[in-house]
Amino acid sequence: MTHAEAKHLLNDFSDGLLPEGQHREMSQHLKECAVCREEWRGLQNMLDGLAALPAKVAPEWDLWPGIVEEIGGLQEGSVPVERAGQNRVWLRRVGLAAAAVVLMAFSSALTALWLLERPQPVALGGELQKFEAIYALSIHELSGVLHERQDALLPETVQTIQENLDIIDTAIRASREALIADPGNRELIQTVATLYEEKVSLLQHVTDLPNGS
Amino acid sequence: MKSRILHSSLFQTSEGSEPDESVLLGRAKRGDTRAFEKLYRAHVGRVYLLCLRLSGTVERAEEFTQSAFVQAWKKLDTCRGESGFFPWLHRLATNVVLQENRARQRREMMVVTVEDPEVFGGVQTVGPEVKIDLERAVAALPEGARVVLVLHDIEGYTHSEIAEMTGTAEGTCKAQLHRARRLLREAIER
Repeated sequence: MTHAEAKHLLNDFSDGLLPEGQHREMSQHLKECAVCREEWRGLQNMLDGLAALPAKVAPEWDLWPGIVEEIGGLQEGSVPVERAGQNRVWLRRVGLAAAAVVLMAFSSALTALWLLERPQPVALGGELQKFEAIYALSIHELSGVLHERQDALLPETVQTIQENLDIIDTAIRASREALIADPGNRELIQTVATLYEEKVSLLQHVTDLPNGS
Repeated sequence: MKSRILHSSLFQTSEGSEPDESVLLGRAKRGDTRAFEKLYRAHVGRVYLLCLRLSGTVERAEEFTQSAFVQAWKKLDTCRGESGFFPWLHRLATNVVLQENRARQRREMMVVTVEDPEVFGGVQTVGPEVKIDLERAVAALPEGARVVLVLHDIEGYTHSEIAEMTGTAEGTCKAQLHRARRLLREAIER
């Protein structure tokens, strides 16, 4: 096992997520490699520190009066709209409602961009739409991480990553177009799902690359 | 005007409190606000700290804590009690913060860091400098990374649970966690 491989697996090793064989291999590598062992100890120390953080802290102010005011109103079956200016919870709900409107608009914009990028007007299955929504968000977030790390990676690495992403995107487009002709094809749906997983996995791998890779 | 009572000795732990929590839960489900207050007193410290770490600001942590208990009261009937009141409340409070975080992220498209990391200072008993530094470093993480780190490494949720709560793929959670750990180590080793 190389340093780079070990470094890539360090978090999963610490979390006990590696398959048995890989776990053994990693243990062996840590016995033999002082650099990776030091890296692992540093991670362990940090995780121990996080586990030892306090579990509770009292708020500076007692929040109960605001809560009892709210639930007292609920008990009586009344909606305390008149107290909107007096209670932050209700103010927050107004904020949430506004946020929901903005969110809907934002989601629609994202959907529009998504469809523009992959023009195909058919109504896809609910299952596909659901995981596409999940992967769209994940890919959006991970692409942000990639963008953030771009300067810390070698230009050729970034170029290779981009080329691989392009290949996956091309395959996704082709599979989705095939789904237009055959919307109920489970294998095609599975193929698209696998491609999205590969894309997320690739982006995830990029976030783990050491600086200067 | 909303009354604000300075909180001092009101915070209590659940250890040794009487009557039994399941009895309190049963009474609260029947509309007994005094029983619900006892549940609140027993758990507000943990819920507040969770909200503080997830949201990054005292102001929002107070709002989320308040909102979590109000929602808990509304949804008490859905708390089955097999695994206890607190795990149910913890999950509910987490969802309250995450839902609002998601809405705000889209609304503001900004990264939030804790306004005053010293708020964590009052609870330390052992190795205060180290713990405050760690809290400070956690609070300074980018929001997405911080949320996953808090839920996974501090609160003990699995990637699959976090993915479900945050509406993302497990791969994203893992990537965010690894990123958070890397940033955290860089911060505490500086």
